[in-house]
Amino acid sequence: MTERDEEIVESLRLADSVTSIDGVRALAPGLHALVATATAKVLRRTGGEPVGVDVTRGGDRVKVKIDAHLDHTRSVAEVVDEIFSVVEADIARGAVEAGGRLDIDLRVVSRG
Amino acid sequence: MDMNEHVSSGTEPDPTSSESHQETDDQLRGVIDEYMSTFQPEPEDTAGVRERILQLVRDDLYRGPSTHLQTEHGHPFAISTASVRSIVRNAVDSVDGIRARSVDVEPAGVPEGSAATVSLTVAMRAGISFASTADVIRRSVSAAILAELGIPAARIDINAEDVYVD
Repeated sequence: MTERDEEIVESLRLADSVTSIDGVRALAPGLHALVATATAKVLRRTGGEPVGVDVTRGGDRVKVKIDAHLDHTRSVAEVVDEIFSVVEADIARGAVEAGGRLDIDLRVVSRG
Repeated sequence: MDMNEHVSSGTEPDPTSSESHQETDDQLRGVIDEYMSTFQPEPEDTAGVRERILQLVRDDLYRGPSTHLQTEHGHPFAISTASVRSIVRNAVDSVDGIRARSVDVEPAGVPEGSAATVSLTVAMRAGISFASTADVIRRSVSAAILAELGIPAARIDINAEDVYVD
Protein backbone atom coordinates (compact mmCIF):
# COMPACT_ATOMS: atom_id res chain seq x y z
CA MET A 1 0.00 0.00 0.00
CA THR A 2 1.46 3.38 -0.96
CA GLU A 3 1.59 6.31 1.45
CA ARG A 4 -1.19 7.98 -0.51
CA ASP A 5 -3.34 4.81 -0.20
CA GLU A 6 -2.82 4.90 3.57
CA GLU A 7 -3.83 8.55 3.65
CA ILE A 8 -7.03 7.73 1.73
CA VAL A 9 -7.90 4.92 4.18
CA GLU A 10 -7.28 7.26 7.13
CA SER A 11 -9.36 9.97 5.45
CA LEU A 12 -12.29 7.55 5.06
CA ARG A 13 -12.04 6.52 8.74
CA LEU A 14 -12.03 10.12 9.92
CA ALA A 15 -14.86 11.04 7.54
CA ASP A 16 -17.00 8.30 9.16
CA SER A 17 -16.24 9.61 12.65
CA VAL A 18 -16.86 13.26 11.80
CA THR A 19 -20.16 12.70 9.98
CA SER A 20 -21.51 10.85 13.03
CA ILE A 21 -21.24 14.05 15.13
CA ASP A 22 -24.56 15.74 15.97
CA GLY A 23 -24.74 18.99 14.06
CA VAL A 24 -22.67 17.83 11.08
CA ARG A 25 -25.02 17.58 8.13
CA ALA A 26 -22.50 16.49 5.49
CA LEU A 27 -18.89 16.85 4.41
CA ALA A 28 -17.83 18.66 1.27
CA PRO A 29 -15.42 16.76 -0.99
CA GLY A 30 -11.79 17.28 -0.12
CA LEU A 31 -9.19 18.57 -2.56
CA HIS A 32 -8.10 15.12 -3.70
CA ALA A 33 -11.70 14.11 -4.30
CA LEU A 34 -12.35 17.27 -6.30
CA VAL A 35 -9.26 16.57 -8.42
CA ALA A 36 -10.33 12.96 -8.95
CA THR A 37 -13.83 14.02 -10.01
CA ALA A 38 -12.54 16.78 -12.30
CA THR A 39 -9.96 14.41 -13.83
CA ALA A 40 -12.68 11.87 -14.45
CA LYS A 41 -14.75 14.51 -16.27
CA VAL A 42 -11.78 15.67 -18.36
CA LEU A 43 -10.51 12.17 -19.17
CA ARG A 44 -13.94 10.50 -19.21
CA ARG A 45 -13.05 7.91 -16.55
CA THR A 46 -14.66 6.83 -13.26
CA GLY A 47 -13.65 9.16 -10.43
CA GLY A 48 -13.80 6.90 -7.41
CA GLU A 49 -15.46 7.56 -4.05
CA PRO A 50 -15.50 11.16 -2.84
CA VAL A 51 -14.06 11.57 0.65
CA GLY A 52 -14.98 14.49 2.87
CA VAL A 53 -11.73 14.50 4.86
CA ASP A 54 -8.22 14.95 3.47
CA VAL A 55 -5.36 13.48 5.50
CA THR A 56 -1.94 14.43 4.16
CA ARG A 57 1.55 14.19 5.51
CA GLY A 58 4.38 16.61 4.87
CA GLY A 59 7.62 16.98 6.76
CA ASP A 60 6.99 16.49 10.44
CA ARG A 61 3.26 17.07 10.48
CA VAL A 62 -0.05 15.44 9.74
CA LYS A 63 -2.64 17.74 8.21
CA VAL A 64 -6.33 16.94 8.43
CA LYS A 65 -8.50 19.13 6.19
CA ILE A 66 -12.25 19.06 6.70
CA ASP A 67 -14.95 21.03 4.89
CA ALA A 68 -18.23 20.53 6.71
CA HIS A 69 -21.85 21.50 6.21
CA LEU A 70 -23.55 21.99 9.58
CA ASP A 71 -27.17 22.17 10.64
CA HIS A 72 -28.88 24.47 13.15
CA THR A 73 -29.15 22.06 16.06
CA ARG A 74 -26.00 23.20 17.87
CA SER A 75 -23.80 26.28 17.92
CA VAL A 76 -20.90 26.22 15.46
CA ALA A 77 -18.31 26.41 18.25
CA GLU A 78 -19.81 23.41 20.02
CA VAL A 79 -19.65 21.28 16.85
CA VAL A 80 -16.12 22.49 16.08
CA ASP A 81 -14.94 21.48 19.56
CA GLU A 82 -16.44 18.03 19.13
CA ILE A 83 -14.86 17.60 15.67
CA PHE A 84 -11.46 18.38 17.16
CA SER A 85 -12.08 15.90 20.02
CA VAL A 86 -13.15 13.16 17.63
CA VAL A 87 -10.16 13.64 15.33
CA GLU A 88 -7.73 13.71 18.26
CA ALA A 89 -9.36 10.61 19.76
CA ASP A 90 -9.13 8.76 16.42
CA ILE A 91 -5.45 9.57 16.26
CA ALA A 92 -4.94 8.46 19.86
CA ARG A 93 -6.55 5.07 19.14
CA GLY A 94 -4.54 4.58 15.96
CA ALA A 95 -7.19 5.11 13.26
CA VAL A 96 -4.77 7.67 11.86
CA GLU A 97 -1.07 7.10 12.25
CA ALA A 98 0.34 9.73 14.52
CA GLY A 99 3.56 11.36 13.42
CA GLY A 100 4.64 14.85 14.35
CA ARG A 101 2.42 17.86 14.77
CA LEU A 102 -1.27 17.58 14.05
CA ASP A 103 -2.86 20.44 12.09
CA ILE A 104 -6.63 20.42 11.76
CA ASP A 105 -7.84 22.77 9.02
CA LEU A 106 -11.58 23.00 9.47
CA ARG A 107 -13.92 25.07 7.34
CA VAL A 108 -17.64 25.39 7.87
CA VAL A 109 -18.97 25.66 4.33
CA SER A 110 -22.59 26.25 5.21
CA ARG A 111 -25.06 26.10 8.06
CA GLY A 112 -28.64 25.30 7.43
CA MET B 1 -19.21 45.27 24.81
CA ASP B 2 -18.32 48.57 23.11
CA MET B 3 -21.04 50.20 21.07
CA ASN B 4 -20.85 52.87 18.45
CA GLU B 5 -23.33 54.68 16.26
CA HIS B 6 -22.22 56.84 13.40
CA VAL B 7 -22.76 57.53 9.76
CA SER B 8 -20.74 56.04 6.97
CA SER B 9 -19.54 52.55 6.44
CA GLY B 10 -17.72 50.61 3.85
CA THR B 11 -15.80 47.47 3.48
CA GLU B 12 -12.24 47.25 2.35
CA PRO B 13 -11.42 44.79 -0.40
CA ASP B 14 -9.60 41.77 0.98
CA PRO B 15 -5.93 42.34 0.08
CA THR B 16 -5.05 38.72 0.82
CA SER B 17 -7.65 37.08 -1.43
CA SER B 18 -5.34 36.99 -4.51
CA GLU B 19 -2.52 35.68 -2.28
CA SER B 20 -4.72 32.96 -0.83
CA HIS B 21 -5.98 32.05 -4.32
CA GLN B 22 -2.35 31.73 -5.45
CA GLU B 23 -1.58 29.51 -2.45
CA THR B 24 -4.62 27.36 -3.15
CA ASP B 25 -3.66 27.15 -6.84
CA ASP B 26 -0.15 26.02 -5.91
CA GLN B 27 -1.55 23.40 -3.57
CA LEU B 28 -4.03 22.32 -6.22
CA ARG B 29 -1.33 21.94 -8.88
CA GLY B 30 0.60 19.74 -6.45
CA VAL B 31 -2.41 17.51 -5.89
CA ILE B 32 -3.11 17.30 -9.63
CA ASP B 33 0.51 16.36 -10.40
CA GLU B 34 0.43 13.72 -7.68
CA TYR B 35 -2.86 12.31 -8.94
CA MET B 36 -1.77 12.29 -12.59
CA SER B 37 1.38 10.38 -11.64
CA THR B 38 -0.78 7.43 -10.58
CA PHE B 39 -1.88 6.62 -14.12
CA GLN B 40 -0.86 7.23 -17.70
CA PRO B 41 -3.42 9.17 -19.75
CA GLU B 42 -3.65 8.58 -23.49
CA PRO B 43 -1.42 10.92 -25.54
CA GLU B 44 -4.44 12.65 -27.08
CA ASP B 45 -5.77 13.34 -23.56
CA THR B 46 -2.69 15.11 -22.21
CA ALA B 47 -2.90 18.39 -24.11
CA GLY B 48 -3.95 21.00 -21.59
CA VAL B 49 -5.40 18.34 -19.29
CA ARG B 50 -3.85 19.80 -16.16
CA GLU B 51 -5.22 23.25 -16.91
CA ARG B 52 -8.69 21.88 -17.62
CA ILE B 53 -8.68 19.94 -14.33
CA LEU B 54 -7.41 23.03 -12.52
CA GLN B 55 -10.25 25.15 -13.89
CA LEU B 56 -12.94 22.62 -12.97
CA VAL B 57 -11.67 22.32 -9.41
CA ARG B 58 -11.26 26.09 -9.05
CA ASP B 59 -14.90 26.56 -9.99
CA ASP B 60 -15.87 24.13 -7.23
CA LEU B 61 -13.37 25.33 -4.68
CA TYR B 62 -13.71 29.09 -4.66
CA ARG B 63 -16.87 29.48 -2.71
CA GLY B 64 -16.13 32.94 -1.44
CA PRO B 65 -14.27 34.40 1.52
CA SER B 66 -14.05 32.86 4.99
CA THR B 67 -14.10 34.38 8.46
CA HIS B 68 -11.51 32.93 10.82
CA LEU B 69 -12.73 32.41 14.38
CA GLN B 70 -11.78 30.35 17.40
CA THR B 71 -13.84 28.49 20.02
CA GLU B 72 -13.40 29.26 23.72
CA HIS B 73 -11.37 26.05 23.92
CA GLY B 74 -8.87 27.47 21.44
CA HIS B 75 -9.90 25.44 18.38
CA PRO B 76 -9.52 27.57 15.22
CA PHE B 77 -11.93 27.24 12.34
CA ALA B 78 -12.95 29.06 9.20
CA ILE B 79 -16.58 29.65 8.35
CA SER B 80 -17.94 30.98 5.09
CA THR B 81 -18.41 34.71 5.53
CA ALA B 82 -21.80 34.41 3.84
CA SER B 83 -22.99 32.10 6.64
CA VAL B 84 -21.85 34.53 9.33
CA ARG B 85 -23.46 37.51 7.60
CA SER B 86 -26.68 35.55 7.26
CA ILE B 87 -26.84 35.00 11.04
CA VAL B 88 -26.42 38.73 11.70
CA ARG B 89 -28.79 39.75 8.91
CA ASN B 90 -31.56 37.52 10.25
CA ALA B 91 -31.09 38.94 13.76
CA VAL B 92 -31.30 42.52 12.47
CA ASP B 93 -34.33 41.86 10.26
CA SER B 94 -36.17 40.35 13.22
CA VAL B 95 -36.28 43.79 14.86
CA ASP B 96 -39.50 45.65 14.06
CA GLY B 97 -39.01 48.60 11.72
CA ILE B 98 -35.45 47.71 10.77
CA ARG B 99 -34.03 46.21 7.61
CA ALA B 100 -30.40 45.16 7.36
CA ARG B 101 -28.40 46.59 4.49
CA SER B 102 -24.66 45.83 4.58
CA VAL B 103 -23.22 43.46 7.19
CA ASP B 104 -19.56 42.98 8.01
CA VAL B 105 -18.17 40.62 10.67
CA GLU B 106 -14.48 40.61 11.56
CA PRO B 107 -12.52 38.44 14.00
CA ALA B 108 -11.67 40.22 17.26
CA GLY B 109 -10.62 39.52 20.82
CA VAL B 110 -7.49 38.01 22.33
CA PRO B 111 -6.59 35.61 20.84
CA GLU B 112 -7.93 36.97 17.57
CA GLY B 113 -11.10 35.21 16.50
CA SER B 114 -12.29 34.44 20.02
CA ALA B 115 -14.83 37.25 19.58
CA ALA B 116 -16.34 39.13 16.67
CA THR B 117 -16.75 42.77 15.67
CA VAL B 118 -19.91 43.55 13.76
CA SER B 119 -20.42 46.58 11.51
CA LEU B 120 -23.78 47.00 9.89
CA THR B 121 -25.88 49.51 8.08
CA VAL B 122 -29.64 49.54 8.35
CA ALA B 123 -32.70 51.18 6.90
CA MET B 124 -35.26 52.21 9.48
CA ARG B 125 -38.97 52.87 9.23
CA ALA B 126 -39.99 56.50 9.48
CA GLY B 127 -41.00 57.51 13.00
CA ILE B 128 -38.83 55.02 14.84
CA SER B 129 -36.54 56.21 17.63
CA PHE B 130 -33.09 55.17 16.49
CA ALA B 131 -31.43 55.33 19.92
CA SER B 132 -33.80 52.87 21.60
CA THR B 133 -34.08 50.67 18.52
CA ALA B 134 -30.28 50.47 18.25
CA ASP B 135 -30.23 48.86 21.71
CA VAL B 136 -32.75 46.27 20.55
CA ILE B 137 -30.66 45.58 17.44
CA ARG B 138 -27.53 45.12 19.55
CA ARG B 139 -29.24 42.69 21.92
CA SER B 140 -30.67 40.72 19.00
CA VAL B 141 -27.35 40.53 17.14
CA SER B 142 -25.33 39.76 20.26
CA ALA B 143 -27.70 36.94 21.29
CA ALA B 144 -27.74 35.46 17.77
CA ILE B 145 -23.96 35.42 17.40
CA LEU B 146 -23.52 33.77 20.79
CA ALA B 147 -26.28 31.20 20.25
CA GLU B 148 -25.51 30.33 16.61
CA LEU B 149 -21.75 30.72 16.45
CA GLY B 150 -20.85 30.22 20.10
CA ILE B 151 -18.65 33.32 19.90
CA PRO B 152 -19.33 36.60 21.78
CA ALA B 153 -19.73 39.94 19.97
CA ALA B 154 -17.05 42.35 21.22
CA ARG B 155 -18.39 45.39 19.40
CA ILE B 156 -21.43 46.22 17.30
CA ASP B 157 -21.35 49.35 15.12
CA ILE B 158 -24.65 50.43 13.63
CA ASN B 159 -25.08 52.97 10.84
CA ALA B 160 -28.52 54.19 9.81
CA GLU B 161 -28.27 55.07 6.15
CA ASP B 162 -31.86 55.22 4.98
CA VAL B 163 -35.43 55.75 6.10
CA TYR B 164 -38.37 53.96 4.54
CA VAL B 165 -42.12 54.43 4.73
CA ASP B 166 -44.35 51.34 4.98
